[in-house]
Amino acid sequence: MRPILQALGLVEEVVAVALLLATAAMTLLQVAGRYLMTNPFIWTEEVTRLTLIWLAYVAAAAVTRRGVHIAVDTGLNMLNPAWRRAANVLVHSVTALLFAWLAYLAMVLAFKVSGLPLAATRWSMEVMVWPTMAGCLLIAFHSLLLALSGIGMIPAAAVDPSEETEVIRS
Amino acid sequence: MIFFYGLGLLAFLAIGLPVAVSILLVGILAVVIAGVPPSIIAERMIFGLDSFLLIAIPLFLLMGNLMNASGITNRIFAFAGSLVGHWRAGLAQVNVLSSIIFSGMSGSALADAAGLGAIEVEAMRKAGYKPAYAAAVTAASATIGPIMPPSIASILYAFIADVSVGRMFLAGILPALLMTFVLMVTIHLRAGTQNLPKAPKVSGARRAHEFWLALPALFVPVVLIGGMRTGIFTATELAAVGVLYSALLGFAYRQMGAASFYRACRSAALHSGAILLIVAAAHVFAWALAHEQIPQHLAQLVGSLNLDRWMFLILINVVLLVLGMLLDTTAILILVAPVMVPVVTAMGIDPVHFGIVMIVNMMIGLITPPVGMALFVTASIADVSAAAVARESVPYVVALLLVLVLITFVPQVVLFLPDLAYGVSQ
Repeated sequence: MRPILQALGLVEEVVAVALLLATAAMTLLQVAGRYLMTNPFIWTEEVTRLTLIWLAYVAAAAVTRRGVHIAVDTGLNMLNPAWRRAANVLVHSVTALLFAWLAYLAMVLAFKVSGLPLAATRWSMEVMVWPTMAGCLLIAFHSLLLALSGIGMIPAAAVDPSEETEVIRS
Repeated sequence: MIFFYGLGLLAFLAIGLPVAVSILLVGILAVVIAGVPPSIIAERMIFGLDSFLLIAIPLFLLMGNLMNASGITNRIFAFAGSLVGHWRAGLAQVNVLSSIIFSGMSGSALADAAGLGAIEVEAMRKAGYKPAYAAAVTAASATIGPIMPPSIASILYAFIADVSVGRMFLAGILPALLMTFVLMVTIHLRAGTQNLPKAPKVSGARRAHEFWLALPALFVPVVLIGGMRTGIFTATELAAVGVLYSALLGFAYRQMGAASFYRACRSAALHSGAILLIVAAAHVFAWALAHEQIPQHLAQLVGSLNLDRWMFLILINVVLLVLGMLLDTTAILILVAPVMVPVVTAMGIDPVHFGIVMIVNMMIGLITPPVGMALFVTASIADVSAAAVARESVPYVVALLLVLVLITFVPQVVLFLPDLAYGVSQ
């Protein structure tokens, strides 16, 4: 199981990095278009906003897998290990349920806006929504695995990314 | 209802739920109580991120990370050393000076504490400084980053409060310089009692050489401020230009390979994911605030207390300081700014002034227990306990509080540059 999760994590992170670089590249293209071309691109800003939304949810899934969401863990750290583990299971379970529901809401929304065109690219608005649904599903999936590992249903080593790489806030 | 939501939020945060999940749960509670279809939650969480300004956040994070990976931090540190390294407690002074220079390229205190901080703590430890002292000075100096432009916190505040990013950026410059000044004075005063080492004075030629080496890095803040003030670039475009420049610089210096480039990108992407998910959740929370008319009720409440604006600012500073000790910077901005900005505007306080006061409060929170993130980062770099760093940080916290008092009661310190560049706001 561990190699599969590592591969999934790697894919999430590579996609997040690609989206970040694409965001930077398209913003630069917009600047270049405005100052170097007589007819600047009209689609760059819209596509950049799209990549930002995708980045947010794909990267949030990777953050969930690593367990490094911004949280106040001072209270948790004061608990004894058994209670701390129980609280962590609760946190991951709530997160899993919440994001599974959000994925469902996003799917409904994607169908609702299907066919409505974006202003510049004329793409369907659903392109904005489907990747976020996938991101929410991945967040729910990683949270579920963390919750299951907390109650011993899957080995903790299978979901522990700590040996893979250094901390993210370099 | 305000009390009910506030209590719910604190309970969610206390059990360790991520800030984004906690905010979202409160928003969902409000949607359910209001009997509104839950589809609004997905709409606000997705379309709420559809903003060109928000793109600046991941790009500035990436720029800061690339600067760290490109070896620029070493050059800045060496240049600052050539200027003030021979002063009493020279390396501590170099630490603060390096931070103000680096903060012109990175908008995040934690990027400063972790990137430049690693070099600073190591150099100070080798020179004979106590690790806890080195970590405390590094944590304190890192708080300058989000005040000096470009600042992630300023961008987020501008987005929430609907004020100009340019005004926010310029408003941060004088307070950041003041923070630098008081930290350097505090170091100097403490050095007299602690027999701290100092380096020999370097020659003018050596200083010129270090300046030459650091020049490409020193050029960045000039481009950022100049580009924005002249209207050549928007904040987001500036961030993208900064990313390109720092990447080119990293490869030109031959300090950054493909692996470190990828690591810098991954760190920025993941950090962005954590922040943007909170921003997305905040849009549901903002709907709850608007639906319950919480800012309006709060404005009425404050109005009924007959507080003058100074009393109000003292009160809000105390609240923000306490929040800063307990919560993450992004969380405070997301939770407090939408509620308080209408109130402060109604009281005749400039929202840009309030924004900077708020961010300085949060930065002081970064170096105070129990949730002082900068303390934890630098303590881990120096391999000492956060409590030891917190004890060493006390004089710097006091110094920064003095700056906070000054900028609170003398708004001109904050508003002078934005008013000069953009005219007095109406």
